[in-house]
Amino acid sequence: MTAALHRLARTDRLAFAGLVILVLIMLATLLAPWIAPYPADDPRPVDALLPPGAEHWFGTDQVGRDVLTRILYGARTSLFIAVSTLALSAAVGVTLGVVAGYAGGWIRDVIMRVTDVFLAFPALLLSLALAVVLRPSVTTVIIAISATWWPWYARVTAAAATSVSARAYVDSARCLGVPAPLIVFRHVLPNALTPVLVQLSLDAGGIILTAAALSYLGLGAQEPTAEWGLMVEQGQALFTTDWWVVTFPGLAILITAFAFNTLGEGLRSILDPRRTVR
Amino acid sequence: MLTAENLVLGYGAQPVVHGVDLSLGSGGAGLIGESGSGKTTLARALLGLIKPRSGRVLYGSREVIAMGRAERAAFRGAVQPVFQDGSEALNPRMRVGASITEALRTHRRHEPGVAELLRAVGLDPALADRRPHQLSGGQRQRVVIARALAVQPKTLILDEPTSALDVTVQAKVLDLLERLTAERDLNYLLITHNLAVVSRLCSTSHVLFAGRVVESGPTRALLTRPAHPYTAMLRDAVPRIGGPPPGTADRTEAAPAGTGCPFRLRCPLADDRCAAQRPEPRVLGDRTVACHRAEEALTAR
Repeated sequence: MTAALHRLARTDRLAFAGLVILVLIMLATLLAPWIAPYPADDPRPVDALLPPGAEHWFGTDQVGRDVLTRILYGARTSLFIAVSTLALSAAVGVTLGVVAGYAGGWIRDVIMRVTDVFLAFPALLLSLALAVVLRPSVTTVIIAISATWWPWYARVTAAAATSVSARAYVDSARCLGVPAPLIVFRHVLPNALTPVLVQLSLDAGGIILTAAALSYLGLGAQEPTAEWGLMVEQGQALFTTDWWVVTFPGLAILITAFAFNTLGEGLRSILDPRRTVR
Repeated sequence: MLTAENLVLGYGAQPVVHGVDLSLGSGGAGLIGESGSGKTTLARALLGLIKPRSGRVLYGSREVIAMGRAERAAFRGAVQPVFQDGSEALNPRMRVGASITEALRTHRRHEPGVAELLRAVGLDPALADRRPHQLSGGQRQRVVIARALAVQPKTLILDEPTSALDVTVQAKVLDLLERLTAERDLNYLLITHNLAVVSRLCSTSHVLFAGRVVESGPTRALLTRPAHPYTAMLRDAVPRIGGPPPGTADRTEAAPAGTGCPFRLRCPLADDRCAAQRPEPRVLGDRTVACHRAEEALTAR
């Protein structure tokens, strides 16, 4: 693990930068109560819309809350949404995909056709529809995005699992009489997982963007939850007069999505087992 | 005893193997054919990995594809493959010791141990901690052999076991296979395109062309006096130092299935009868051959 990190730092500076940024963001989410300069939800209308300065580095919003504090707490919301959504959609998608890829035949056909049906809906539209039907909340965002995201993992995993299942080591395991569930989890899944891990890491950025979009549209996180998309929505009207209210949460979204993407690209190159140097 | 009866195999519209009969009794048999002849498909069917379109693969008197749980476990313990390339046949994420342990565990064996198996194939037991990509091609192939031997099989299906190796390493792995199969009294089917390998390890051989066995018999007789023109062509294609350059085949395809001999487009002896009627296998002295003009070939040489 340490060796892999050194390798990453040496060979892929961009991915390493992404990793460092993500670690910092994670630290910020964990330590928010201690490092945030102000309480998370403490409106002080007298201090509304103060520009960035020594007291409030990123200024204050329209009800007088410190923007930096809201961004730090907002990172919690965004990462929680991203991680939960990835976990939920990957759990569903990878399981279905690996079963489809290994089993083949009609089982594969059924799973992939269901997947196609979900993929046929535009993702944001399906998320929106779900978010409207369910009550707007962070949980709704997670469910709505997962519903549109799992088919991609099913498809990526099925493709990888199909090619892995044709490898001679899977045939060898079958010839040994290794039970099918063990073949799937010991031989097929670990070797089919690389593209999925890369995809997960690349998608984390997209999910943060989608979550922000849903909140921006008022279908996700609700006041007083600190959420970056919600902050952008509330700040956009003030852009010409009080630019800091919308700009800093927007930058937070941008930087986080960017960090996930560079890390994903880096993972793609180091996760090939034949390239790992120990 | 592993037997194929009138085996027809294939994936798409056209079968790849058309009605092969094969029986693997004691000792070693060779299966010779060029790429695309259906060798590997046949191997997979013999291992029970694919379902025949028609015909049967029998182990003893039982059909492999229809076996129950216990019978199948016994079959898996008795018939083991050695595939072409150790980098394909070993899970790249597992240490090679773990791959061998998996074989032992699956069959609830404690003997022989991983170290003993590695020693039996001429490897240092310390290599058990390596992953496949940290071993050489020859070492990987030895690990594959060790894993096959772990379950103490009676029959090996060797599918191009040395084709991915350098010539010098090939010779050593063949030495190993020769010694192990003799020591352990194993039956084996050696599938290859390499006649030198077959003549060394197999007393009898079958020549496969376009999914049909065109000639079978004692390996030595096949190579010294081929009855089928395809066998002759394979033999003459082996380059020899100081000898004439091997002839090249102008055409490499088989004639379309249906009527006629599948080899007729490449056959120097082909005549009208070969286009009209497919030759059925018939016994001719010490061998079985599917050629209308086999007698001429045998008497001419």
